[in-house]
Amino acid sequence: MAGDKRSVVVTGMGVVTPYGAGVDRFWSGLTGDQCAIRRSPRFSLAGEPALGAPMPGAVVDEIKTRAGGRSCEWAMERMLAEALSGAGLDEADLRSIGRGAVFFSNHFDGDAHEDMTAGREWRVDRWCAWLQDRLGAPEGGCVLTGCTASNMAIGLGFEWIADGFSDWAVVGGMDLLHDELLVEFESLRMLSQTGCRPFAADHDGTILGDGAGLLLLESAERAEARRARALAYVVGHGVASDVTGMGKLDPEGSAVRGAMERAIASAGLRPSDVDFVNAGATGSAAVDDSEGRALASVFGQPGPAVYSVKPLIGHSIGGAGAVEAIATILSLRHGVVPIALAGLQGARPAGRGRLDTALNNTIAMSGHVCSTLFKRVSS
Amino acid sequence: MSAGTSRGARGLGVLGVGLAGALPAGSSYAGLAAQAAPAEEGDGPTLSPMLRRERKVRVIVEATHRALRAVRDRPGALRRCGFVLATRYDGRPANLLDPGGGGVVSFGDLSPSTVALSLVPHVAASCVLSLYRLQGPALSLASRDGLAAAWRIAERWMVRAPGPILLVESDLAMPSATGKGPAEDYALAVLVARPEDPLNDDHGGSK
Repeated sequence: MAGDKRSVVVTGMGVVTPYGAGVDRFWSGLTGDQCAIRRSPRFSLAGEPALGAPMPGAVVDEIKTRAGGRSCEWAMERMLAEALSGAGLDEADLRSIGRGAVFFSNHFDGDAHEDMTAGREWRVDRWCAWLQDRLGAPEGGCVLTGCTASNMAIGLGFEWIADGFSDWAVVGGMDLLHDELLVEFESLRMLSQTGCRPFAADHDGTILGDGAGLLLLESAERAEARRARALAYVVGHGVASDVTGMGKLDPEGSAVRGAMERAIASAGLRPSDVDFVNAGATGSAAVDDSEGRALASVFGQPGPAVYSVKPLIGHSIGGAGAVEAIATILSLRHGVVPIALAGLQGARPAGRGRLDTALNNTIAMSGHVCSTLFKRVSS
Repeated sequence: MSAGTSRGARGLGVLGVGLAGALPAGSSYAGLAAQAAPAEEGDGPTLSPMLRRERKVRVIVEATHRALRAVRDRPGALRRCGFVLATRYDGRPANLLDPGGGGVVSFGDLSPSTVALSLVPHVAASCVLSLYRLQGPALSLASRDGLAAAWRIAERWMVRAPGPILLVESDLAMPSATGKGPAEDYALAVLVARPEDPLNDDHGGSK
């Protein structure tokens, strides 16, 4: 941690992915190279089953049985319970360990869809407010920066704690699949009809998937005082804006480079200290080209291992930054980079080894770019 | 710097204020809005036909243009400028989008969904960044607290990144599908900086 900032640790994580709910199931799916992308009759585009990465049918049945089909509410309850349990806390404990903040992203609220069409009230910051009210955290906000949103939420929580404004922060994001979401992204011509192939010569768009992630951040000092198990340090955060124009990104990757450099510099580290990068890597040419050039520019060759979980679990928009931060932390903890990306020149191969420091990149076509740096906790 | 600063409510210097549309009744920012720069001839940059159709984007750009008057000819200050858009939404059913919309020509044509609503401020934020080439830290968030939430973010960002920050409060009033007529759009934009930080154009620091 650079300067006189407070150290920040991740002490709890909860996740919902196309593999179902839970961190262990997520890691097992990633390391088992299980591709969750398929055509599902539950979702349709122009009357045909749509390509996506949905949760398994058994999980959907569970949501119907236990939560009346309200998938967002089910996901929020599961993630919060898993993150708090992993941190050795309950909700009352959390309130007692100091001032808290919540930064959470949600662009598509499937539970609210019927409410809205029926003209019933709905709040754009509903799930962030739900967490704030539940956890007694008056401060925070619902981050709406598209594909960067939950990575941005992690960065805000990190800064709030590091700068002494909060003692803990619950951060993350959620976007679960729905016909409406698919139709609207198809209308924006962002979807591939064949698969998500980041950095490949024939990449032609992204694939949407179910994804939600929630992390509990605490000041390292407080976590240590209550003998909590730290899962990783958050050590740096950088944001930048690509101002090339609406829906365009600088092919030279100036903003992506800026975000990564700021994240690394804010931690007092050098690019050579980074062992691997979880890339934004959506599979769209604009994002992949911009990020590929930025990676080459920041790291040179041979660069760190670069991977993306999107070819397996798709892109969960506002949930992606948090879901992939959890994948990044799991990779640090297990010493395994699970997936190699073909087509990215100069990157070290995936594999097993001592992994200390990793970047989590997210890039939105709107020009918002965000990079967060995590460090392994020594056992 | 040549732009005069007035002391803001929380100790930040206010360098400029822009208002497009009318503040909601009872807004606590009436005093701030009274400082708003008047409309100018040819008010704001030229928007593409698609964006011009987006009333939400249009009012945010208009308010931004007026608030940035003091720094519009200072590319260095604009480059360092951060940006926080805080969108309020009161959940009124009259804010539903037209459910009969077909292909996406305009975000106003999207069918009613939360993703359509959340994309509108996301696009508006992107539009402001690219039109004015603001390259400091940028954030779009939904908060019932509106400008107050944006102001808190600005105060905290300035711990790390001294530099001007453009704050905008708007809401998600959208074309109505319920026969109640279009809701009023507004945007209140405020350019703030720490009074002790000059807007040197050649100062390259950023977050």
